[in-house]
Amino acid sequence: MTSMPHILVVDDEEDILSLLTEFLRKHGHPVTVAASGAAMFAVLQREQIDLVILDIMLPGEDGFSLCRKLRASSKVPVIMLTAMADHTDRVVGLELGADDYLVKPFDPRELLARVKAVLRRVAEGTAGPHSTETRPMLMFEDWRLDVARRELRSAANTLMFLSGAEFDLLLAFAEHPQRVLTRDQLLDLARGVSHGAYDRSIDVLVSRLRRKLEGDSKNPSLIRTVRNGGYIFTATVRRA
Amino acid sequence: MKIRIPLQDTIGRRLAFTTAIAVAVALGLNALFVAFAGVWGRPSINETGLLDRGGDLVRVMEAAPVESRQIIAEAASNPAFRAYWYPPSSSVSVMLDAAARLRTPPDRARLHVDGHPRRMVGFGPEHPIPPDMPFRHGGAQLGEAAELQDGGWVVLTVPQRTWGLSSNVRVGIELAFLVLSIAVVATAAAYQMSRPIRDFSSALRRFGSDPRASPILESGPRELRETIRAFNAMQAQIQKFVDDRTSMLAAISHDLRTPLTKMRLRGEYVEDPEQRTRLFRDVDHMQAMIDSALSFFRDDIRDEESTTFDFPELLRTIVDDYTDQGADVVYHGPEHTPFRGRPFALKRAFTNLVDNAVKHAGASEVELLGTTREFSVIVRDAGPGIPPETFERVFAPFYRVDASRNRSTGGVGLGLTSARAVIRGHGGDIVLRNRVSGGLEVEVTLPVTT
Repeated sequence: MTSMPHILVVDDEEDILSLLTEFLRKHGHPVTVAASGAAMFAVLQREQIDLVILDIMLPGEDGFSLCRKLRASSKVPVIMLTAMADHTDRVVGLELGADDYLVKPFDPRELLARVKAVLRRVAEGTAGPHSTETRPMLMFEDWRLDVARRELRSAANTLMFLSGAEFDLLLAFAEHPQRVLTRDQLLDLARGVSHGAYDRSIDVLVSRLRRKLEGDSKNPSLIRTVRNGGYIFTATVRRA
Repeated sequence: MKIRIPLQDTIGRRLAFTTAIAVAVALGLNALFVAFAGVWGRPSINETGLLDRGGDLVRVMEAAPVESRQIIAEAASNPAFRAYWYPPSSSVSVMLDAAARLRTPPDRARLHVDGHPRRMVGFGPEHPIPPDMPFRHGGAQLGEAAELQDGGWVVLTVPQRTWGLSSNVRVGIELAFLVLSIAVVATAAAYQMSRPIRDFSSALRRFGSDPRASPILESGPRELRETIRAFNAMQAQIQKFVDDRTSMLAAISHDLRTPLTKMRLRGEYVEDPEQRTRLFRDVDHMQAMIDSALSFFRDDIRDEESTTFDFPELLRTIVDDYTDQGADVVYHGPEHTPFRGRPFALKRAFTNLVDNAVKHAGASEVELLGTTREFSVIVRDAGPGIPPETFERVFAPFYRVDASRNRSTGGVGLGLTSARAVIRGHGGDIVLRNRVSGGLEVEVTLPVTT
């Protein structure tokens, strides 16, 4: 059995540190903790860390600033935790190079799912550390998908609303264009679908995406159904 | 040394200034009238052609023998001018001679022959032709008499008054000018003076619905500027008070998340699955309450930027969310229509409205009617509705229609409050009414801005 990814948890709340440590260890991950930015960098020097879970509200230097520093020296994936359900907070976090973002209080199982998803995406190379300069932007047909802001905009710069699950599914498609993807693969790729959206079938999400993205949703061309297979995202995707 | 005259823009000075301007304009208009329409309004003798004709006649007369002068006079007469000749020492000549001694006409009304002025008498509105003169007939008012070299006199009259105005009409016109110019100047000045007052009152109204409105620009007379300054200071104080309260409550809501996170994590170690599920439900409920409070305060903070977004899809995304949770929510309306506003604030607002409908009626219908000038969204339900007397009160923070209702229906009574704040922040409004068929209808109107 290959060794489980080693996770570093950075939070100033002792209770949360111990509870998270216990939870993650229960699911097989070796865990190291740090209560401050200085401690975090010390651990990163000393040990081989596969993923950092970083709280934004820290005494002294906050999580944003730590994330920026971390990015300057390392490619280790980061999931940020915040007590703010604020949209701008998330955008800032992701723009600074965090790979994912979770709002307190979170479902620990969701944290686990995100950890897995981020590690898989990093392994696949579809997602990696981004900085503000290389903020991933996926372009297809007339659409621009801003991954950090989780925003989809048309050529006329009109914002298109996507639910979390719809965004995750579209991202999965856009990261794997012109490939037949089965429902199971999609369920696995779309991290949002992998948690808390069990009742939403992929088919429903696909039909909603078609309604939002395609001029003629009765006659879809962007996301095509493959008989007995799944779906294929037909557009060419450019990265910017 | 430079002398500074303290000129303060007060209401009193504005009034005095306005009156002065009005009078000056009236006088100016009158002067213009005289200058450009003077011939018509008050013709001077040389503009009638009398002088030229008189000069020609004098020359002809002097060249002709005395016997033929009477005939020339008759021949020179026509309906517009009438010419007379009086031999020297005739009674008329004597009278004219006397009149010429009495008053010399002004230079511009002088009759010249070969460059030399002649003795003459002019008749006009100021100096009417005396009634005993034989050439006064046909109501002639304008006329002139010129002396020939032999002492005889030539008279030219204009029997029909074809131009010029009587003094009554002229005074009437001048009065009309005065009244008109005062009316125009006073209206303009009143508009100028009342505009800042009107701006002020509309700013007050805006503040009433939106405490975050930017300060009013100080303009207008000093009294008004002082009032605006005082108002702006008051508004700043209120804003600071609201901000303090908001940041305190936001901090409390924020701090509650840490213990909730711990509860969530500890819940993982609760053995009894039934109890664990209940614990998680409690945590979720508390989180929902904190979220609604936080989002309300956040709307207050206004940090979201306006952008163009697909309005129908905003509503349909909400509708989809509720459909996924098993609620019967449907959307009617157009597809893919852009709208400019703050999308996430509006999404929270409409989510609150749909959420109310779903909670109290189990189902909802969302209808969008869009025109080029405004969008109107109607959220209907078939629930029990609410008493009309509570239509205004339901927008008050923490108000609940049914105080005894179990709080587990969620929310803390901020849904409508924050929805209205967001919608008013977009310049729109929200209206409640009970449907005839039962149930509540919430209509939101949003003006289209570009």
